[in-house]
Amino acid sequence: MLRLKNLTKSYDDKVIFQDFSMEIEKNRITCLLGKSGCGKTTLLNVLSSITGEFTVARSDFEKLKYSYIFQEPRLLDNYTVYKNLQFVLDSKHLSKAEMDESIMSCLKMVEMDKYSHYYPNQLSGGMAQRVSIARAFVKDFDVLLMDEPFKGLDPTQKEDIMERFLEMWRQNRKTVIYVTHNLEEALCLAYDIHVLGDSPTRIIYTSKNAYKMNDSDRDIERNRLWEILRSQI
Amino acid sequence: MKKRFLKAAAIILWLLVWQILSVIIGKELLLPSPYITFATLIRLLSQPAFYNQILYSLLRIVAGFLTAVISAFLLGVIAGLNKNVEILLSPFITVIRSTPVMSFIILAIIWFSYNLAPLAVNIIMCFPPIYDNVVKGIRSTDNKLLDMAKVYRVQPVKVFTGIYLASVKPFLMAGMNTAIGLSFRVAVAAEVLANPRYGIGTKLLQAKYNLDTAEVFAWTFVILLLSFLFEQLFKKITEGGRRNAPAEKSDKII
Repeated sequence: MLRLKNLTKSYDDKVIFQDFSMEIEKNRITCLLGKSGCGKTTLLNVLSSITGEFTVARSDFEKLKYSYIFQEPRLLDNYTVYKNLQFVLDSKHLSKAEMDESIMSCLKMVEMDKYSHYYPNQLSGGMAQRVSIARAFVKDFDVLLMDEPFKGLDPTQKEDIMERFLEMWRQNRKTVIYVTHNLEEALCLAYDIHVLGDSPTRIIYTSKNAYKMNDSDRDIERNRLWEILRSQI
Repeated sequence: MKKRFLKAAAIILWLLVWQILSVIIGKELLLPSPYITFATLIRLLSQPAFYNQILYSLLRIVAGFLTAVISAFLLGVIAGLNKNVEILLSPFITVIRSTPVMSFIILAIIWFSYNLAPLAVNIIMCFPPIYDNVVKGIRSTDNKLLDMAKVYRVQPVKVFTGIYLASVKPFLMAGMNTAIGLSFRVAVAAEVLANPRYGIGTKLLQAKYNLDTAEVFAWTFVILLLSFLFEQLFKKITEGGRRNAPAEKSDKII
């Protein structure tokens, strides 16, 4: 279990987190569900140390290695798909052959190996996001953070990319923290779902083991989560 | 094709205007005709010393320009990354930008040898446009890419070459483009005042002393031609770089 205790963070005068605590089961996909602007992305940025200036009583998240799939692919336009993956790899500790093998196998998993020599602006949004998923898995990590990575994709693309993501995740089953405001995505991917409320951000409901539920229990859980989310608007 | 024809027509038109004006004025000392100017140029081309003058001027121009590019790039990167360095350098940059070039030339003649003064002034005058652009390029780096590199713990050298350098490149090119034209004007002006043994500026001054206006025109034409050729060479080099850059959106795979 990874624990975060009493996180406090403010932006200017606005308190985002006040003594916020959460527990994340290791080697599972945990979803943080909440409406837009409730502090989901800020939480991921705090965990990965993108954002500084916060206080915390205890954090098991410090000193961990992270991969991050962002809302937008964040690829380097001047680098090819292959070089974008190479960019995050530590060239000092890998031979050329090892590097090549891990890059090409990750690209193959997302069916982008044929496009390794393409530049990001030659790819569609869905293809670029598949490359960013490959980039997340090419480097060894303890925790994978995902910030609404399927937002803005059309339903067919989304289904395909989610499928490929799960396929890759099943190969290493590392801890994943995934934020979204899309209930269906959460139910499709997550083992545990924490619903976040805001002002300041707190966990208002936790759905454990959503993945184990049968269809009727899942429907009940879906309605319950839907009601909670609606009450937040 | 049509554009080329129009350009050629414009050049012919202005040559005609020049010819007419020289006929109206009727004094070669004030305005030599295009024919006399080009005849003088041909005469200069046949003299071996002509190439020596050009070589020395070009050496000063190229060496000054490259020194300015390297120093402005390095300091621009440091100042772009560190606001305090930018503040520290700002009085120096403001002074260079606002001081008349003639003041620098006179000071350079006092401080350096006649041969080195044009080079020193060239470096000083080319520095600000390149430096300003590099600072802008560093500041316009995409923070989202930097955050990505931070999460993935990418080595600083790779962050610099992959993210910062890509952001700086178009700004650096714009700065260098401005500086290249400036370099020719400043170096020749400094040669006129410093009067080194070899240099286009020295020959310009000698032509003036000899009241040989046609030679002044011929040397001016040489400066314009060299400046134009250097700008074209620079364009070719940067276009070559662009050919290796990402393809345009039209090649996009949907």
